[in-house]
Amino acid sequence: MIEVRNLLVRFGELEALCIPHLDVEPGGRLAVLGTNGCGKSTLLRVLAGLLPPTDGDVRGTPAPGEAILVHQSPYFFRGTARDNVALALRWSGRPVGEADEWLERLGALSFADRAAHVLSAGERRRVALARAFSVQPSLLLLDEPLTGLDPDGRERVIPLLEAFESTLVIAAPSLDGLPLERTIDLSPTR
Amino acid sequence: MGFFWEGLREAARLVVSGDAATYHAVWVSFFCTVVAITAAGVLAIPYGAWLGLFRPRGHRAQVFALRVGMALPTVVVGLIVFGFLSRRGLLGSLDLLYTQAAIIIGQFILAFPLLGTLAHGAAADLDRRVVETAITLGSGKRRALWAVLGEVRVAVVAAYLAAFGRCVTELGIALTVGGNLPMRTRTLPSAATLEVTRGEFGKALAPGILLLVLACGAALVTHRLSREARS
Repeated sequence: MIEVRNLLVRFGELEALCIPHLDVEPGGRLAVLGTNGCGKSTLLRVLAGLLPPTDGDVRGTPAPGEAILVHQSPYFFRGTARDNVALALRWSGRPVGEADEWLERLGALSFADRAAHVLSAGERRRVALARAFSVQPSLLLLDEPLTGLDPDGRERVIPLLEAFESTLVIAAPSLDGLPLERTIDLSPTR
Repeated sequence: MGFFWEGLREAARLVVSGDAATYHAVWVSFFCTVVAITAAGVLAIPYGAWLGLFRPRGHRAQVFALRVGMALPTVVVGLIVFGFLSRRGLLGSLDLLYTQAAIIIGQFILAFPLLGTLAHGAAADLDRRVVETAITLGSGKRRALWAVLGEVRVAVVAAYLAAFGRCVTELGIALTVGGNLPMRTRTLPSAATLEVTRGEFGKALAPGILLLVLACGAALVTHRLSREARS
């Protein structure tokens, strides 16, 4: 179980995030909601082990490679969409041949041979999600996963999220059809 | 002006006739520089990128030391290497003084901080998502470092060009630890300097022209590599 206690993250003088208490059960599904700049992405980076907290404790998070963060604006390495998914599979010790299967499930196989850098925002989102799902992490952290997706993309992503069996934390401005029961709102007014 | 043209004519004659001493100096300059910057790059580029990416404890002091090293005068590097390689020095028993190996050691010291600093700058300025994406996908730090070096390859190529330019034109090391021995350790800059002090302007211009050719060649190769890297 992920346990967050008295978490404080500061960037210089700016208090970016303050969470007194948060638990996420194994296999739990949590939506982190809130307005822009309220610290949703910061919380995901902390849970992914990429950002050490200024103060407080975060326990029970899996190691990098087991905890996958998909950024709001995903980054792609040199090469095609397929190369990027294959790279993640190689790093996680999984068969590289599974790349096409995941691209197909996200409706991204038709542009698998195109350079990842030239893809549209929606296409990039599909490839980034294919890359994240392909390594089957024990903690999946998604920053606004539906942004930029067309109806077909949403129809493909939402069932995958519903079927995902490990721990899932999604940051988004609102639930907007996301299959998550539990929410935490980081908006400063709450 | 006539003096200048006369010098140019003499330089052209030496270059066209394939003067053995001049072309040996080209070889020594090119060989020593390429070996030195290759060896320095293998160590300095991952080291600089590692400092920029992971900011380990004491990284500020290490970056400062690299920057100081980048500003070192070549003659000071030459004197330091001389101190180690001279008969009474720590490495005197290796008998490397006044050899091409001595020049390579000096140029390695010259190139290392330059390559390290430029790699550090490229990695530190890189979008944090690059390393975060690699780490979160389970690359581990070493593979993340290689992934990042792949992303900053254009800057790495430019760093090599800067190191090539600094080493191939340096004089202090070549004279101090190379000894300017004809057909052995004479480089293009040391040959040019010697001929000028002898009053042989034409013979001094020939190495100067060949240095320019080397510099243009390196820039051309770098330009092509950068274009390929971008594509």
